[in-house]
Amino acid sequence: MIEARGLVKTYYDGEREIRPLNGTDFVCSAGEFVLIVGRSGSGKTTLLNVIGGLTRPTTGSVQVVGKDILALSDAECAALRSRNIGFVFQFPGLLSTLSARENVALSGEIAGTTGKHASNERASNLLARVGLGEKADSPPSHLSGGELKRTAIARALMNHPSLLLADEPTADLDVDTEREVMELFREINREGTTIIMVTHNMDIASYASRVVRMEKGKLVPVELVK
Amino acid sequence: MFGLIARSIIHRPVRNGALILAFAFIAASLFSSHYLLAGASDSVKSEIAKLGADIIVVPQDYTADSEAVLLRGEPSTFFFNDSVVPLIRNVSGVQQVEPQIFIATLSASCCSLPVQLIAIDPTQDFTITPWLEANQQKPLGQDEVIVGNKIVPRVGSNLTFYGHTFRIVGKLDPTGTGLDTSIFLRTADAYTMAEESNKTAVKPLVLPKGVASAVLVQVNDAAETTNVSYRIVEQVPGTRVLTSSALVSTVSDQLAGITQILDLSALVATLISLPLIALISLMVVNERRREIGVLRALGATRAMIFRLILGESVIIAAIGGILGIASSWIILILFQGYIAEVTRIPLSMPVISSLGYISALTLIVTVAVGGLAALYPAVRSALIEPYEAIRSGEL
Repeated sequence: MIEARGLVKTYYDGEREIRPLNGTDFVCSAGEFVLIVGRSGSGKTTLLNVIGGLTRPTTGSVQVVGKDILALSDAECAALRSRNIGFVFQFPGLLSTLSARENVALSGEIAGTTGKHASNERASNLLARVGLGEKADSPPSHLSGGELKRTAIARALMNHPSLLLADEPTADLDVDTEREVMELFREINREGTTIIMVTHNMDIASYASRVVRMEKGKLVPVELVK
Repeated sequence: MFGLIARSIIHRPVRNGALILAFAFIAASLFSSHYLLAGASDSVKSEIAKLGADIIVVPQDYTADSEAVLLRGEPSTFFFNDSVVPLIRNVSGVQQVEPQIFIATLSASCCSLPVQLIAIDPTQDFTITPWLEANQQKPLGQDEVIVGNKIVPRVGSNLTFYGHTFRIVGKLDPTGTGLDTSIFLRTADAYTMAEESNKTAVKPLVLPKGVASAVLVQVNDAAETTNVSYRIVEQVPGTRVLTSSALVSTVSDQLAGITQILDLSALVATLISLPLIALISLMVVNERRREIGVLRALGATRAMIFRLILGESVIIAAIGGILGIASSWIILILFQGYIAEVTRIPLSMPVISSLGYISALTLIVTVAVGGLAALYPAVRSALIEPYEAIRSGEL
């Protein structure tokens, strides 16, 4: 599913060189639920964005669903993101001008694979699945933190992605809502979607099939005590 | 994508409302300028067409007076010897001629100001006679007059000029030109009126025998109006010709001051608005960096983001353009009479084709300004790295 080798990402803060990825290797098979943990600024979000094609590494190679994403054009990379990868960010990332349903359907419209009516129907079904069927017409400002996260997850699933990338999806959530959201992720994973989740919350490690830690720009495996 | 643009415009009503007003001002200035020019031009062409003449021959020394009579209906009395009539008739390409005599009245009972009397010979006339025939009326009889649309008294009532009483037998349709304040009578009655004026009028009318003020010329189908005009001026001394294009040019010159101010307003508004709109668009892009990042993560291409930002500005410009055109059109129609009076030019609503052309041109220019202003912000937003965009900004 994913094979990243020798990833280096360098940028500068003034004259200070920052290297969040420093020869990172990462391999993930289809159907895995991988948790990437690490301290803030350790480079875990950068790795997630490199895998998602949202930023390019300084050096290294990345294969995602069999495609060398560094060799893809902007349009090809956008199409890959649209059809194969779902994103859930730390912030909900919903457009305030659209309703929950329209936010979810937007992914379908951008992908252009389905008509508007079909997109809206699938969006409604997805919102019902995440328990927000009755709030489909509500704008994001009328949704709670947990509801916003669940809407964002529904949006990420809109185009039947084989890979779901989630960046701190349980940040700012209370314990009950965190559990609801993680149960949802586990359910999605059990249906066959590969999930890579970045977090610094080890309490959710039990949901993952594998945990790795980002340290000094490299990944090290973490043994889980069941 | 259109829905997203529409929602985004509605979501920021104050800022986008201000932008729409700016575009409306640009459109209104441009539209008004071209509307006035087209309205005046079409009005002149309509008058010449109504007179049934291709060329109007006037005394060389009274060109300005002739234009004043025809364009604004300013009463004037001037003549040249009617010996020019057969000379004009003999010019190659001339099909038909009609001499007319212009007489300014003193104060008339019909109107607060003196009016223009135009004496015609019904046997040679091709101006009023076709109109009478079209309206199933008898030829103009003794002491009968046809009046322009702005002459107040009704058909059937009497008017007195130089002590001579005439009966109104018809009223012309409005033209927006000097014809509206003119009164047509028979040449024979004009001479009778002049003779009687020695006894009946405060100031007698001096109307020498064998004169004409203007000779209306119809050109035959095979001849070019311009060529015939040149030949008349060459072969008939002491004459000047007025054609519809010459009169349009005169009117355009008269309007130049106003249209230049309007064009300048549009230009200044564009020059001021362009960087302001660009700056506002750039601010919008900065505000929406995270939104752009999210859209990119969802699979939007650079081209989609470019179209989103550019499309928003173009739609705002189009709304402003339509509002500007509609509002200025309404104002121009409501104040058409006042504008014509102040500018002293004939003015009517331009014909539909002119109106369509002016509206389309104004809209295209306004939308182009909107597109131009948003070009740099749109390019910049398309080039934003999705990861950087997501990390910064607010949604």
